[in-house]
Amino acid sequence: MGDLSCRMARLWLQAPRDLSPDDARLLNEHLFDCSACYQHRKAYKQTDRLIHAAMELTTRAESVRPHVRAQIEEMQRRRAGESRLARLVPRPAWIAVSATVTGVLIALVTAHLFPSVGLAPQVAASSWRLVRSDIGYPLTIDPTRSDHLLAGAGGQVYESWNGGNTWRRLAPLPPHLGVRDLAIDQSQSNRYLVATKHSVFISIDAGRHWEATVTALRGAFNMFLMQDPQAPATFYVGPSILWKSPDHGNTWMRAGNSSIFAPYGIQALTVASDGALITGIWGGGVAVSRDGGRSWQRRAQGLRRNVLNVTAGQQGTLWAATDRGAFFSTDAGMHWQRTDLPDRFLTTSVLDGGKYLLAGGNGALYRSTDRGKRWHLSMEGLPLDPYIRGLLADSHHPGRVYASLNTDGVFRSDDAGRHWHGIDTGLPMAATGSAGARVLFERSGELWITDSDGTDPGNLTVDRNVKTASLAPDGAAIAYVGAGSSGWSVRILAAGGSTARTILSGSSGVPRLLLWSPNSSLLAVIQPSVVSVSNLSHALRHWAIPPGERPVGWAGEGRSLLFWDGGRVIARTWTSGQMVANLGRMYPTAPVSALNGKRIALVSRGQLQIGTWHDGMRAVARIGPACGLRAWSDDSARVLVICGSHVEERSATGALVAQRTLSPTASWVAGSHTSVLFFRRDGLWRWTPGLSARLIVQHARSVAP
Amino acid sequence: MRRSKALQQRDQVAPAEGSVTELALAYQLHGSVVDAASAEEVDLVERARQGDLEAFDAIMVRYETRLLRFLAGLVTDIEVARELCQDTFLAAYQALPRTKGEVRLSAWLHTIALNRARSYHRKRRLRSYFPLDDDHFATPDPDVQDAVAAHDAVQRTLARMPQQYATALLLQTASGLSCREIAQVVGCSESAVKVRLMRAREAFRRLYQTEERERWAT
Repeated sequence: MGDLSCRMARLWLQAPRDLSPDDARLLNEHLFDCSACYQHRKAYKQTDRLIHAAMELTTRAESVRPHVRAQIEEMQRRRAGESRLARLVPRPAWIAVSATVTGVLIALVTAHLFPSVGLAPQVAASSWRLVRSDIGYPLTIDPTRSDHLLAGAGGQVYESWNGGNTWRRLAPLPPHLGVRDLAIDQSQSNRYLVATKHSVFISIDAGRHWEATVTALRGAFNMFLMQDPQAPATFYVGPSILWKSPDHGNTWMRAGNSSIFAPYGIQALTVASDGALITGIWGGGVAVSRDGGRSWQRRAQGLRRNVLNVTAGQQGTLWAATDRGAFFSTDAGMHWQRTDLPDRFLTTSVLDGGKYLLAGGNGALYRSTDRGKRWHLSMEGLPLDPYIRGLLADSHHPGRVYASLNTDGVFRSDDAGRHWHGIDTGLPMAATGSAGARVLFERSGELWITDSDGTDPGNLTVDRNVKTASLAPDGAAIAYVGAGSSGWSVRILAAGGSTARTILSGSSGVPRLLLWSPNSSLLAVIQPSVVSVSNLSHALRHWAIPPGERPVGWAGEGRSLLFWDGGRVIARTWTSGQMVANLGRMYPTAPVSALNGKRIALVSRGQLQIGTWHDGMRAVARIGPACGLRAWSDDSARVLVICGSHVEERSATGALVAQRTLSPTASWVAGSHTSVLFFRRDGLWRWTPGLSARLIVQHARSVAP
Repeated sequence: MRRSKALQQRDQVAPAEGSVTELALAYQLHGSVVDAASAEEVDLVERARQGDLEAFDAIMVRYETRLLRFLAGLVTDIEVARELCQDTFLAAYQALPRTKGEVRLSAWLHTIALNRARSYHRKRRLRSYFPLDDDHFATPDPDVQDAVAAHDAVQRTLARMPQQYATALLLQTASGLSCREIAQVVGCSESAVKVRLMRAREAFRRLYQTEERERWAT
């Protein structure tokens, strides 16, 4: 066997490429003589092949390069913006101005949003912030008159006669409305229509006066208002339950029948070239109607993503904007193919300009000149981190495109989306018609939904005697328990309404808690002694809760439920309830988990403790003995503590952010997933400070030193 | 002489095994190949240091697949691997301007990736995770289904191995790093790497057989 020992030979076999030619030959000779080592070499190679083949599957994964590039470009833009600003103003002055502007902005926003809050929410002063409203700047182009636009901002309607260069406000709408969409009647040019969340307003004198033609549209949670171009007297509002007006918006009726129209709500409606109505389905696919919305057919082949918007493009192509990129169909929606947009890109709108395509969405705008094969970021002139709500092509000016952003106003491009500039002179920049918090409540046995101002509420009633309800984290669906003398049922309702679907029912053990999984795909129904886990169509698993355990919530990974047994917190797999982990620490009371699955809080012996599953708990504040923990805020940054007659909002360090005394007549009405308090006082619906957690950081483009 | 003839016969009979003679030949060419690649890489690194995104993109093209394979082996979940891969590139892009002198990209990027994966493991240490219940790689193609089953078995085996063995093995087989580069990444000597690799392969073989037995038993 030559001079080489078996052990050395096997070591050399680990890195044959590193061997010198002489060593390689020596090794080869050894292998020829030693069958054991030869077998080892075969085994090593088999191992390598196995691992290599297994890892080949990873090459099916989408490339991360576009994401990295996009993030780097964003970093570069941010740096460029900062350095430009720093050059304009000497540093000390710049800091002073930014701090002042920040303070003023926060004060304005806070005063506007939280009039009932005693203390302003604490916001770091190092960055400029605005509130991201749910829909900031809906926009419409006059189909008959060039350069004439309408935009919604701050709950009011603004008009421009010069392509958006300047704006003026029209007659005021009632306060605290959120303008969702607008339209200019193409057959009566002075007739303007405005859809708020649950109502429709009309002006017949070009915005000098407004009149509500319908309010509290049952089951509607308006996202769009659309005129049928082929039947101009017909208007639609929706989604979910589609309402139709055959007489220019004067009267409204339900367009669909009583069956499920779109299982999880739709975001927009479009009219194809053949006259068919097409809409996206949250849950996958599109719905097509050829009878004016009376009946619908679902088409989902190749399109399994949540569809936010469908647009009809050139040459009969349909484009679907989804929460995972964009798809297209060339056969009227029968089959869909995905474009090369990044898979993680939440796309809200695709604009087909013929020679170019634009796709806007959360954080970016992409442009393609080869019908969607390749996409490039096209954000010159747009603010950082834009949330593009919609894209509109101006038929009067070829190449002119408008982009309406949720928080940053309206932008225009005159070169087919290559360069952009803001057109907001006269538009309010803090476009907060509503804070966007959607909260469910029960009134007279009916289920209602409204926003943080409590105005323009929508009636989602499909059942009487709603016992408890919970809004999905993604806002796409509502689960509720309805109970009567004959039993109870858990039903799922699209956030916009539609017909509810029963997923679970029984005669005893009424569920007391509904827990949505973090990705909104599963619902855990907590009965007194049984957990039932369901997808959005039926119950998948049932298992018994061990005696003495209380549910805490879903674990952050979304595959197990956490229970507190009086000391420990235990993770149980949602499929069988089997214990899969003991989180190792002792908790004196049941911890409340934040929505991000990381932070936890509990109250013990008058002390508020906050920590993480990983690092343990730390006492951060002493609170009264009568205080109880209610919930975490949406952004997992604050906790809401109820102390008898008042409510406190505390930061993760225990600092008191806001507090408010509850009216003696205040009553707990209902909690959504966000678990904010909602009460009535002096004839008005009001909110507790928990809403300040709705602040979402956003760069304020328009603020200059 | 007799031995040499037999050796030639062996090489002719089993070329597919990738004989050591071939590797010896590759070794002779190795230097010049590496030098050419290195020169190009040095240029790319220098341009990326100046903030040239195209140069950095070229670096990503070179290393993405290798990093992704390596990370997928370490963290099991392909989506997590993709996120860690993104983090790795972003961290590298931010750190590049601060580096001085020659940067051995392969070892450097894998070091960052390994640190990211370790950090990920630390964060999830207290919780148990499970294979995805959904049809993560669901496909009607039986060949792909077989591949997926094999992939799962390999992933489970890697997960059951001591972390240091799995890391070394993946760095070599999935990322194609040399022993010297692996030594740089994991912070030990080359000879220690070889010992680690040998033990890793033996452990993998043993655990994989157990894994297969369990799979067929169920």
